[in-house]
Amino acid sequence: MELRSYGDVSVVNPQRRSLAERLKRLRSRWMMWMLLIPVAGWMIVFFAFPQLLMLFISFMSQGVYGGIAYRFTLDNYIQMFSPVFLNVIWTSVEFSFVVTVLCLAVAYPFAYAVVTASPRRRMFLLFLVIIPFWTSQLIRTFALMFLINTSGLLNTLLLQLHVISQPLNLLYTPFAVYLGQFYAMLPYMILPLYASLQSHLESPEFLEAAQDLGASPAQAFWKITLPLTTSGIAVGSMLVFIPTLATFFIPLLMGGGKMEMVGNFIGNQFLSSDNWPFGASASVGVIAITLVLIALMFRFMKNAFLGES
Amino acid sequence: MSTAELQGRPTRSDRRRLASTSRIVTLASVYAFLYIPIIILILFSFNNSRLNATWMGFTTSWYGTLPDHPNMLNAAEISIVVTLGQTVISTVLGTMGGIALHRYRFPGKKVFVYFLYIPIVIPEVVLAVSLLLFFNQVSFPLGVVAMMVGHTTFTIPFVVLVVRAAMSGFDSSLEEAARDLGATEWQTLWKVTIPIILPGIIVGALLSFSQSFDDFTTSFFVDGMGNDPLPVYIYGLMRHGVSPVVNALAAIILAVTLIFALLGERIQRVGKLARR
Repeated sequence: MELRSYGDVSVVNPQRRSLAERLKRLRSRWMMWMLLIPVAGWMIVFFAFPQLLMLFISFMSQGVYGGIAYRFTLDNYIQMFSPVFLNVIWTSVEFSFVVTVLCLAVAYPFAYAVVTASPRRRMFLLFLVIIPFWTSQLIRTFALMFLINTSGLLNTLLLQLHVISQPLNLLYTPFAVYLGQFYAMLPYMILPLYASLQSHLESPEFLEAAQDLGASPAQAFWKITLPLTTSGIAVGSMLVFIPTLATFFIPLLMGGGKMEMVGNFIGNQFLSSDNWPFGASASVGVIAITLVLIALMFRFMKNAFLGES
Repeated sequence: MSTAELQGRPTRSDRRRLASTSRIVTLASVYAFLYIPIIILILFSFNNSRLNATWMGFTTSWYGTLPDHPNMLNAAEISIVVTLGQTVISTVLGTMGGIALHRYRFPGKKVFVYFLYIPIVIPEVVLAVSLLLFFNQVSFPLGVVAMMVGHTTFTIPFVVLVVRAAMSGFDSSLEEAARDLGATEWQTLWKVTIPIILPGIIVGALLSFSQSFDDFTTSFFVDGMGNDPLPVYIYGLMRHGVSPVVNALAAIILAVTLIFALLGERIQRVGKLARR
């Protein structure tokens, strides 16, 4: 406890705390450890330790018959600069970038339209975004597969309307992978944009000031609204970009395994190619990239919030 | 007539009408995009045709044939066991962690919080292969228990997050009052803290449940032979091509997760109202 004023009789000298007070403190500390140790222990054993193990294995050699040979090597990290792996990384980065931009382009006007609705309707509109957010991504991916496969509803419809004469091969193409990832990620972009637009429009002083000073709606948007919602844009972009970078089952299902992202590449090292050490180094690489991106996001959020206040 | 109208420029009311039309178009097209695939998926689980492409009449027979499918009941059983088991563990541990993180300050807390939330942000495949490697190195058999452990590891952070948020609306002077009236720490926890944040705990449990029930990636890597839970089982069926049976199974999983989501929403809303 700090000294608040010299005249205060209740000022507590830590040395002279009563026994009861000290006992209470001790009990409270004990309770803290009781509450913390189980969850900390679980996460250390089943999360931190496996990651450290991964780091360790990433410096080991591949065994003759697959598996792991416990000999130190840097080969796995050197191998990361091979054209094959660089190509996989480049495909993933390009893919994630395009998906993020697409999500942003669709989600921003959408979130704006939701925010400007009447408060009661707004809750309902938002709820409609949260439902797909909660539902299984695997099932949502399957719903898309069902819709666009060669004998699916979309092709049947287009054939019957004589728009096309041959069914379109949409499924198992890069297009399908983009569509699937975009479909899965869109709600993740909408929600942070909504939050940031809402807090911006709840305090319309800046916009009113801009209007009073004769700014056109377009000018007001580009000069006021967009800069003030950068935190939402940054958070939404990261929430889309990071999971997309190492997406696993969407390329597998929508692309038929033809488009190999880094997530599939890692999975394959552990399943089919049986090169666990190389899979481990790739995995360490992905975590490193992810953590750097998250750190950037936090820095950006902090700056944006400081700028906003 | 205003000068704008005379000159053929858009007037203010024109602009407003255009804005409201484009708003409606934006809303409608995004919702259509989000919902049409799901609605069609469910609709065609009632389609009286093996070929799926056109509507041949209403039937519920695909749901009736589900139990006859080889391993289908086994997959459902595994899903339920894994999900319930991991929900209990993650809710208990996550709640304890959430309460502790709200109540206490300790050295290294910030680092610990970051550490706890990392599993939320790193890609799931990375988590899944690290668990596979871990189980392999400590010679722990893959299967139901391994899946439970894996799911618990990625759901605990969500429970901690939700419970901590519930605690932030909690008046800690109530705990203080209980202690001053002679309640032990343990009594304070059970009789004061937990009943008040119960809605938050339930929401955390529901979130944990639906995350686990839906999970594909982690299960895919650590389920071992013959222990496929429903999502992995469906994945196997999907690779053999589309069939209304898959639609029916998918519709059931959707329904289960939706019910839990709606329940969570409702509880959260009631909890917020009660706190006011």
